[in-house]
Amino acid sequence: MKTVVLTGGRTNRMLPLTDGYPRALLSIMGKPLFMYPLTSALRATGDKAIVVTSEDVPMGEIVRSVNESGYAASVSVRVQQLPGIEGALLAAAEALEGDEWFMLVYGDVIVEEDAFRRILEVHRGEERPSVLLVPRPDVQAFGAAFVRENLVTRVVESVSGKETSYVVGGAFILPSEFFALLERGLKFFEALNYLIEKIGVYAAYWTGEWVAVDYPWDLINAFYSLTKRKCGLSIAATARVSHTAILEGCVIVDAGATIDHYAVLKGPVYVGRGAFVGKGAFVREYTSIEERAVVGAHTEVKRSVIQPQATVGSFSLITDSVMGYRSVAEPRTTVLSVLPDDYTLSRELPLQGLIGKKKKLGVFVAPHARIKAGSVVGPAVKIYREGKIEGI
Amino acid sequence: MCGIVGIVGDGIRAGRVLGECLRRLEYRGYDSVGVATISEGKIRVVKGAGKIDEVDARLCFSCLEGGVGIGHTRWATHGPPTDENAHPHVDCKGRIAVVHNGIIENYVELKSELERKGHVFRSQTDTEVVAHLIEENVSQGYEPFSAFKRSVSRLKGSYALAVLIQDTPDRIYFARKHSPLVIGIGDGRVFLASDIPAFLEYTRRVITLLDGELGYISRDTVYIERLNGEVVDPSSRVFTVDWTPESARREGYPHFMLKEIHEQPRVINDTVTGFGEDYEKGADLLHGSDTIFITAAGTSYHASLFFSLLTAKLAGRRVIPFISSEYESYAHIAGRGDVLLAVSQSGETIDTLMALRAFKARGCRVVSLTNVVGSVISRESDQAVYMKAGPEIGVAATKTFTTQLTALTWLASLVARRSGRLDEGDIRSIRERLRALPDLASEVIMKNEGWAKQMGRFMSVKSSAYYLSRGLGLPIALEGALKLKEVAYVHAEGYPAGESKHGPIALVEPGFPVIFVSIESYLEKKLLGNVEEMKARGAFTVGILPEGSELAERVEDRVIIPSRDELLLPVLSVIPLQLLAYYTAVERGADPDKPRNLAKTVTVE
Repeated sequence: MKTVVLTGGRTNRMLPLTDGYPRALLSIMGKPLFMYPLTSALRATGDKAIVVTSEDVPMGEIVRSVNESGYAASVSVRVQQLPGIEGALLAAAEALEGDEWFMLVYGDVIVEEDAFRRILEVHRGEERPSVLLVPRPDVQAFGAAFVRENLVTRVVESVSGKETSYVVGGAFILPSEFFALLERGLKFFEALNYLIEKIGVYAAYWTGEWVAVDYPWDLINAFYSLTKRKCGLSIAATARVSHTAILEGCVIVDAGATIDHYAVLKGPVYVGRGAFVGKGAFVREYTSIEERAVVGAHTEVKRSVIQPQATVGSFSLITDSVMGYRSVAEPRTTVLSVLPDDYTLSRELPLQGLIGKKKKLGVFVAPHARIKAGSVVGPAVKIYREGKIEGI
Repeated sequence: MCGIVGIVGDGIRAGRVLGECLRRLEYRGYDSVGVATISEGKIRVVKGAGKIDEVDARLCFSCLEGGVGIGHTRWATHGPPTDENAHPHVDCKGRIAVVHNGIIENYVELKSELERKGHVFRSQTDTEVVAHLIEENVSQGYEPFSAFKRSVSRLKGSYALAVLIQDTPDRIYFARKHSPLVIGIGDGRVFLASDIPAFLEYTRRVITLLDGELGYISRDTVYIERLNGEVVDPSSRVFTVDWTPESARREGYPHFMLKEIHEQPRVINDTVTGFGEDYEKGADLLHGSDTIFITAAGTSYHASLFFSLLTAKLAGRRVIPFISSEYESYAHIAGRGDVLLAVSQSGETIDTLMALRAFKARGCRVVSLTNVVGSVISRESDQAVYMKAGPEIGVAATKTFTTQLTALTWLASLVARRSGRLDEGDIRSIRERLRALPDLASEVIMKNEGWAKQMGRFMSVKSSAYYLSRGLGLPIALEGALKLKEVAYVHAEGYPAGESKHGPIALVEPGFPVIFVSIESYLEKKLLGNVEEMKARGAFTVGILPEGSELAERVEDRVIIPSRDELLLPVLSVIPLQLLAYYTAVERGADPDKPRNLAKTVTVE
């Protein structure tokens, strides 16, 4: 069964990280976001995939990532002409070559391939459309589903209260007739509800790790989710790790990365291709330092994602934060991250439930933006390129 | 739920292959088993009560010759598991054999219509009408397939059917409505089964039949049509499965435990609609006794404790609950006028059986509540009462506990009616309230699975927890703690909340999880005091609370059960605790279906 992976769209919810930068190409553990659902789905189905993207996403970057993954022969890329998820699906229709069923996957969902296997099992058991459903306490921030045993009774784009706790998990198995419904002008969820009523749609429950990267801080949860599956100590042959550095627990050092003298990396930590961790730096749990990013000397970073080519200056403290592509925190930047007790967010905070009772959120920095040397920033703020600071 | 298989093929001994397929379906039913094959132009049937291997050893259905046959493994709901009630059922002349999964709702009308026409029925099942109905249509001159179709069109209810007709010895006819049925296409043989694992060993090429489809299989044909006569092209429907037999049986759920938690609304409904004469007779015996004892082990003991508290409250009767393995301390105080209510999910729990026998030896009479019709405990009791949870695969009891609570609530109400504490109007009202349980249970699952997943993450890093309650909530708290221990290996204790300050509180430190279950509103004030005691020591307090509970604002995290009905709250309140145990286990990487050191049915003392 072929898979359609959607990578278009530049949601405002991801700002400031998507300020002039496509969401699909945000990097996590050395790979752009969309590659995770794409490769997991390909492994589960053993068939081909169609990546649908929009005009504002550099197609060359998408193709380059696919080629580097070794899956080039199984993947074709299409650019959508019409807006929305409906337009993206219609762009993929032709490439499905008349198959009776296809799997639709959101490109911003990080989930194990077993989740795709589960939805395939459910579909094959009954030969009906199926939807991946994920139990979440903060269902208000997602599309939601109502169920009765293993049958979906209704899907809605959002719920206001706690009528259900099932999130529509971004993976669907749909019949090719679905395109006809979209061509008739039905919206995606309307067409799904039509199927629910006419032929029945089955629920594939996914109880394992699942992260939809929809808000900047979801990248931190995504890193947690990826390292939770399987992670040990791994140092690439071309990496340079000083003999005085200490690497503890799950630490992955990718090709060409440098870990300088007396740096301490306490995993789970990822250091991407060509990245640099300076002398005496302290990189703590759940930190991903992407390709050619720099963490300066004597700097402490924890529970954070540093996007490609970003720089964290020396003597800084960065926690619970995401630094955008080529952004810079100048030396002696301090991030505050402890939130007031009454602070609420419409969805789970990063690593909630793991860090105790105190809720924490740091800063989220736009691509190319700078934080001036010696600044004390946060908690829970977005920093834009022109220096504008916004609360979350 | 029952299991159906069928096979047509060259050069096989159908009896042997059907036996192998049936063993793969034993999880769907195991009360009785039967096989029918066609050899030398005649239908031969071998069937009997008991497990597959027992029946095979006794009657050797594997010895049946012939290349065409059907088989069935039964889980009795209507009619006890006897040799007569085992499938296949045949018509008057033994020329038509039928196996069936589901319920023929209009079988009483059909049966009396056919009896008026001279048909003779041998079993107490609803299935037998199908064989006679086809016989009737054949006798009117319809050719076999038309006769089969005409018969199916008369059936109301749910069914998966497989039928042999002697006049067409190379075919198996089938029909599906609501109950599952699949076709397996092997080399030189075609299979029919209620579930794919039955034939996975032989073929992985499968066609799933949809509701309202019927047809037949032969060595070289799969013919399918819809009820409206439209013919289906089977070649477009063949797919290849690459999963294991076990994943196929889970129907897409990651674990049986989660599947069974989700099945609770349906099986509670089956239990409530199944309240019948057995409950009335059980209540008569209990009411007429001098003293009521109730005994069980494990989860069933928590249900028993609930019954003793509820019966005291509703009927004003003293009920002495005890753990089965402690029976020796209780049996000697029992006498001829007393009644023991023995509760066991499997009906085979050895501790409970020993207690039952010890009480019988003292001259007591015994009422039993089990999930398995004809089980040892139900056979040895004076009156057997059944809940209808269906087979439970997960070792940790979930759906059998909530159906036990439902059944025991009804039984306690009937005892209260007999003692004059409740009148007929009250009983009708209670039955109506219990009918609301399935929808409410469904709502509880739907709203709280996300909470359980998040709370499970929190709980997974803890080494210990308390579950506290008072009154009718206490058995629920005990059960919640037991579930967490059983499947997630996190130490947990259920305790009466008032007792917690007499010892357990010594362990409470900042972040220690304490879960409060509130059922009875008149006890809330006291429970509130216990919440404050725990909070003062830094505990992380969680409430499983009814709508409008005063505790909602005082605990740090909460699940609000969408009801204030104290008769329904126990069933509904345990569901979030089951989910919590499940998600804690998943988060800790444990397999909740196979808890270490535990067995589904405990048969050694």
